[in-house]
Amino acid sequence: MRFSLPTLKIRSQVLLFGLIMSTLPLIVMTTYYLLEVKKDLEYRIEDKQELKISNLANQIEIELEKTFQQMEMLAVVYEMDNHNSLFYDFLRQNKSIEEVVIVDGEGLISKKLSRFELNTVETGEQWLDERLKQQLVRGLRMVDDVKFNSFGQPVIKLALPMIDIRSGEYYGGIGITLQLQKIIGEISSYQLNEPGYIYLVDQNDRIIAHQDYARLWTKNSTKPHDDLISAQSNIDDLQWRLVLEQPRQQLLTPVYVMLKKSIVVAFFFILLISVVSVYAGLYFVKPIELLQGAIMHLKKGQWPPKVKLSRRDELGDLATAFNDMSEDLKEKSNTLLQEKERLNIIVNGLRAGLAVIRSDYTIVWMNPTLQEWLDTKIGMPCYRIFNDIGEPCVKCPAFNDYSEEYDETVTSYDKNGQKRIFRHRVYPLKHSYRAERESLLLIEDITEKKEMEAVLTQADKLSALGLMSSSFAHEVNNPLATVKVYAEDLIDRLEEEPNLLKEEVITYLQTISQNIDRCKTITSNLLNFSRKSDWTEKSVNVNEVIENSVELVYHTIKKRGITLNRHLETNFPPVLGDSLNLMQVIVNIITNAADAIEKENGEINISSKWLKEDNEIEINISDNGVGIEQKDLTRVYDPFYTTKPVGKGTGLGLSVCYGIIHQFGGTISITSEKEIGTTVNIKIPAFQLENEV
Amino acid sequence: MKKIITLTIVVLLFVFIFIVLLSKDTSQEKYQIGVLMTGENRLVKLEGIKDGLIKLGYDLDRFEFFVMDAEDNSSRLDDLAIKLLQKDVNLIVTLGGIETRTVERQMQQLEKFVPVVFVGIAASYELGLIEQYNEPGTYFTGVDNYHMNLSSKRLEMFKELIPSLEKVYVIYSGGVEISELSMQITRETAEFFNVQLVELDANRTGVLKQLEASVTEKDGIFILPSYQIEAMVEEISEIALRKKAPTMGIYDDDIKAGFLFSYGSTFYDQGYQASRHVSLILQGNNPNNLPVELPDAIRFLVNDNVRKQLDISIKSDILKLADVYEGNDDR
Repeated sequence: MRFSLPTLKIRSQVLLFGLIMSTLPLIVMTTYYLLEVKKDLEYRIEDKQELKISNLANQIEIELEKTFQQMEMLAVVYEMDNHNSLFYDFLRQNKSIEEVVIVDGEGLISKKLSRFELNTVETGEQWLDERLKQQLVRGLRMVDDVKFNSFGQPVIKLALPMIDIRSGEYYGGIGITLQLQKIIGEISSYQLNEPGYIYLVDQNDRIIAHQDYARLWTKNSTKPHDDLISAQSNIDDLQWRLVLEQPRQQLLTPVYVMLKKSIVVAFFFILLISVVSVYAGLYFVKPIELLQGAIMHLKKGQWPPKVKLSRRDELGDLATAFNDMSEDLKEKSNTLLQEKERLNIIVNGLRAGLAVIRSDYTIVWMNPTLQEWLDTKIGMPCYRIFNDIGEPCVKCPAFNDYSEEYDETVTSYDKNGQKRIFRHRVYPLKHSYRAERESLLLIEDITEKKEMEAVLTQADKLSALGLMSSSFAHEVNNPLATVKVYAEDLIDRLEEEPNLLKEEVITYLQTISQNIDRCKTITSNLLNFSRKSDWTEKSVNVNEVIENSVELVYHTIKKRGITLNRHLETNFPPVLGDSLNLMQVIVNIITNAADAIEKENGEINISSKWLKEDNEIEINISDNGVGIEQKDLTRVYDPFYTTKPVGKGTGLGLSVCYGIIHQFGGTISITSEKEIGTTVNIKIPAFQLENEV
Repeated sequence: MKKIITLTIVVLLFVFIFIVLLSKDTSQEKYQIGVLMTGENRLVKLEGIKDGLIKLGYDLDRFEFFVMDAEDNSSRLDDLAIKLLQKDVNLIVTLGGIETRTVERQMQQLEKFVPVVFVGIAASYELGLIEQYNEPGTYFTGVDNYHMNLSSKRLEMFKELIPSLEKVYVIYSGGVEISELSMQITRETAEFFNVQLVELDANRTGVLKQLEASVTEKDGIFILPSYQIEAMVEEISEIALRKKAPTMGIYDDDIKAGFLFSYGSTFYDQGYQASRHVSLILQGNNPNNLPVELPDAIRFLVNDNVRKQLDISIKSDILKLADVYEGNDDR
């Protein structure tokens, strides 16, 4: 199962990340440190307690041991010197000793020196009871229970046995009464600086010193408890115990206070770091948010206000770049709007139909002109416009890899049922909608243009005919003259020779028939040339067209004394087009060549050949005439441009030639050199061979 | 951005104040101690208390002492006691018997009861300040200097030191309870040891002249506890020196004033010892549970200069108990 975090804004993400990264390590470190410190401090406190109580117990023990040693010394010396001075000196050194006594073997006082009382000893005054006396008899140190003197002061009696040096027998003892108030007072009033109690328990488990005086002289009922930190030290000689008990909770209060302070300080730093993190986070996020806001403005199609960032870092650069980009975009957008407006005007006002098609050939956009012409609708396939077979055009380059430009002329009917000629071109678009392949259809209504071209062609023909009319007449006249001669001669002979031989008549008639055929050929050619015809695409034999053309202009050339040479290759494929139009081209060019020859020995060369590599038929017509000025070469195709004298040319010839060759899908080019001659080169795509291929 | 900066500063300020307040140790509030004394000579007891407290582990910076000094004019004590009681003190330390009695009286009158630690009064039980030594049962506890009962021991020692004494001039304060009680004990002891006493009431006019007129070098001069007599020790010692009479005082101040012997608890020791009572009450004990203590130390002092001046024969045994004073102010 995958866990996914809820989507947060970048501000929240940065703040959250900043907070976590700034606080988490500090929290973990602080927690670890505080736990370790707490453990260490607890250990140290317990150690300190034990040391403290042990020191106090040792002080008491040392004092007691010192007193016993002095008493032992006193007992020894007393055997030799029983003067009071030793006892007084002993008292002076031990301020807590209330009295020092010498007792006999029965425990009765034999000598007493007191600090507070009179030194007087009453007769039979008992100092030791039987139990304590037995301890001395056994040679042991005697330690009495803690008791109170007549003033209610706690005292304890200590005694040592005195042994006769010579006999080694017990004969009494030396004893002291020790004031305990100082020990008790010092223990009770000891300032612990922490909560808790220090108390002294005697051998009977009775509390003889306690900081809580209410518990003094009571049985010690304190039992070990987890809530208490307890330390005790034994005072062996007295069989006392010095105990220190402190409530764990209260004793550790300073630790907890320290921990609390540490937590507060840690919290302070966490807070400080968090604030810095938040500040830093906002510092970095703010520009992003500003930019995001500005981009959202842009997305809504509004121009955002300038992003103001007075920073010199990458974000500042980004804001500056965004502002520049926004400004640039605004300018470009305005330019686009302007251009779109212009384009709309152009597209809508253009006398051409435009449509954008998708890869499935459906029309996604078209201009009103197209809709007006052909009743086209958005969503319909483009091939439905002209093609009713329900398939895309064969050579449609829209979504195929045809490199050739698609340029077709289609005859169709408009909404009114009028026959119209359309030029149909397709241009694949490089930049299209959502990476879909798109193409632009450009449909032009060239009906009027075609009609105009036909008129021009016809005009050109008529012009050529006009120019050639005298030649034609002369050409026709010759056979006609021959016919007339033969006919008159035949009549004469028939009149003169009624029995004229049939063979001879036939010969006359054959000659007449031949000349009439020649006239017929000439007139047929002329009629054929002059006929106004529509463009009809058929397989055209180029050489045949050349020959027919030469026939038309032959007399003119011959009359001018120009030699016409033909170098026509045979066995090459036809071209596709209208033969009459091609003939008009050849006639125009030969006529132009003939017009250009002003000198004698003029020569026109016509050649045709098959350029197999390019699969083209090439026609070259060259002359050795006056040539064309270089400055005029660029204008020779312009309609009505001519260098010929008035009446000799209309200026339409080469313009019409250019249009016809273009319609053949071929090219026409002219090279010329002044006073050397001119060569016209025509290349027309071969037809049959390609089909065969 | 300005809002964030302002917010940051405010938060940090609050946290800083919080930390400062937290850091303030409220448990370190000062102890308020009232001190009442008749005169400057008892100030040494207060020094003893302070030293004792230090020894017990206290820091004196935690204490505030309100010292009321009557400047040797006992009639001012009542007013000073009232002032102390009006203050909100943890306890009152009285540096003598008359001070203690005054505070007792004023507490009764004002019906305001504050624990009282007396430092060196001679007969706390006999004066009715406490019910018994080990459980006082009242607001009073402290150090009883035992000087009333010690009068008996002092006389015994005086006789032992100078066995040739024929007569002992005893100076007491008539009307001062402790002094009169001490006089009574002294009489009994003198009778036991068969010592002839001449009783002189310090309140009586011309008592010192009488002393000077009658005392001889075979006699001894013996003073009893009384704040009045404490103020006369220098004159007494001068008379004794002129008359070459041995003197037995109580305090180390008596020795410094020119007495030959003194036996008793010093002011400093009393104060030092009473610091334990102060500590125990501050630790929460009720004074009626805190036993009244006898002195931890009774000092026997001998003024060597005076001994030389008197050229007197002193029994050497008992001198082993003494600390010899040679004019140095060394406790």
